[in-house]
Amino acid sequence: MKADPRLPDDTVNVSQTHPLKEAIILLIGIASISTLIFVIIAFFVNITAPLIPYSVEAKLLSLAWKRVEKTMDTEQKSQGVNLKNLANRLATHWPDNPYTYHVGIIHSPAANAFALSGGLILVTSSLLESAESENEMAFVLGHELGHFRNRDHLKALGRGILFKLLISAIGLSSGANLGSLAGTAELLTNRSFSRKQERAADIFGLSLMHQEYGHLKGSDDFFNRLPEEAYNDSSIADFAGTHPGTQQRIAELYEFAEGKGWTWNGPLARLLPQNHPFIDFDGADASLNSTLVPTAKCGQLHFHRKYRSDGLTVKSLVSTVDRYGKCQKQNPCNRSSWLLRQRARSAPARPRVSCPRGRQFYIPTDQPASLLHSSSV
Amino acid sequence: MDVILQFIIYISILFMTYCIGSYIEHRHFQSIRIRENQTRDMMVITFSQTPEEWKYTSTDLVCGNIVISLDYFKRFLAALRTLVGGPIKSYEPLLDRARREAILRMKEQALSQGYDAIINARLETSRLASSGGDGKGTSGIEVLAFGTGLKLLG
Amino acid sequence: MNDHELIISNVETIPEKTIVEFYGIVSGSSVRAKHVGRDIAANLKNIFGGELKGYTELLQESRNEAMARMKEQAKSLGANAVVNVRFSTSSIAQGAAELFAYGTAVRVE
Repeated sequence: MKADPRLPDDTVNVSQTHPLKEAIILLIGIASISTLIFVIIAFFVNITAPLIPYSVEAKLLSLAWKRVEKTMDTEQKSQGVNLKNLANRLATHWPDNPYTYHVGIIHSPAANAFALSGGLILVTSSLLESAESENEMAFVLGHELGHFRNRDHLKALGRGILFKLLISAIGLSSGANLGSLAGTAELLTNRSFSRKQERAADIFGLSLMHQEYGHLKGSDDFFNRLPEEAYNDSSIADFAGTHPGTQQRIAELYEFAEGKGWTWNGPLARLLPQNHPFIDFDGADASLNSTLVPTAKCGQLHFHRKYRSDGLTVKSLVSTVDRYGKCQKQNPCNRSSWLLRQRARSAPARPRVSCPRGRQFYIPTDQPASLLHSSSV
Repeated sequence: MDVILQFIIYISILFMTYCIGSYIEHRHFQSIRIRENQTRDMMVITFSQTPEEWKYTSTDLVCGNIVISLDYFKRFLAALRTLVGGPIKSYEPLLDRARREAILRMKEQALSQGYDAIINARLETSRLASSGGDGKGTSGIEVLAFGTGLKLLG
Repeated sequence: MNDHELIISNVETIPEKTIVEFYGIVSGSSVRAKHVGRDIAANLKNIFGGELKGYTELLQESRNEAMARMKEQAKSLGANAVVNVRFSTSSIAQGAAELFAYGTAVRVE
């Protein structure tokens, strides 16, 4: 019995498959299986979600609304009330409307709006700030109403819940560092409605616009204002191929309106918080009958009380408000602080140049409306 | 745009860990082959009894261990593989390296103590820390090789 | 030399044969996982206890492959038996089992 030490074949215990090749095969395989699962789930949800009774949705609403309401400040609340009235006004043109709408405002740099269960619409602060007319907001709300009518929000919710369940089931059993991958996949698929759903919602919004205003002016403003590549989440959504491109959506709106013979011309309504008087900051407007005239210098708003005496116009400074809406100086005769909100904060401050036409400034209700150029829309 | 950017960053990190991990693995295998050739005369057997013909003078416990971990890319690959099932090939080089290195260290210890052979060699593998979860845990495995070194006569 | 001629034993001797030559340690290992559906089923089963069939299968498959690899190594050395074979199982990753088999490659007559 002798010892003859030898070295065994050392390739036996290591597979010779190239790891990159394996990774690519696995990724492609898993991606296609996930897509299949997604399609099946979406199909299933699209059939079952619309069967959820409205009473269940109402319960979901009260939960979600409480949470959203907590995050809103007073000003946002008043804007929310305004938008809520607008949404409910639009909904009167939808005969079978089962919802009472609520509008919440959330902070987000992306201009966007969401339809949540039970008639809750979330509008981002950025969208509200960039909107220049009531018509524009009305179309956005009308579009969300379209999602409600087709119950798209429930489909999205159902999909979201099922995906969360699936991911957590996979996460529980396999553990490992798939969390981020699954998260990305969820982002890609969850929020976006399909091209068809968006188109249907667009058209529903458009018909509401037509019935409410008799014309469609302002409906395309939302799309036109957005840079082509920055449409809300569309960098993701376009990537996933489910979101129609902005230009295409506008084209479809025009086409549809043309087919119906609806006009795009008409007056724009002003967007303003409920019961708030406003000053239209525009040299021409201000010289009309206003008793309080704003002028702009170096990005500041100066409010003067203007009155006539012996045919002469006398100005006295009442208050100065900077372009961020903060009160700078106050005349003792002006009792309360004037919190003004400039709609377009991004407008660069230019000395000796008055603000561009159409900018509006809001003045809180504690100011006597008689002081101001009050307008009812 | 953010998500795509994140995705690209994630993929590049994966690829980078793959490159570095493969390089380290390649170097380790090279070093293992060289040292295995150097120590090939040391007989290692799993017998608990010394073969009758072997005459020996002294014995002592010798052991070698290693804690080793896998690069992020291969862990990711393993995680993908656990979804579909089947052999997790990306772990194989790790385990092979670990076992051979542990045996080598045991042999090297035996050599340094002047032993000629090792009997009753045993190998133990254990997971050091969580390799599951979100990938944040240290994912090391420990391999311990131990046996009894013999000084042979003649 | 084929599998039928390779004798596997977990004791140090083979009846009616004598070991004539030692070649050293041979080993085989295999890491395997079941697909995620099996994992989920096993998780559920775990609540009530009982045999996790999926995993029994998994470990058996792993063990067979580890043995096959060990035999292959032994053949590469020119051995006709592997004696004193040991198995060890370890958990390398969640849901994956690693089976390791090792023994001493010898030539018997």
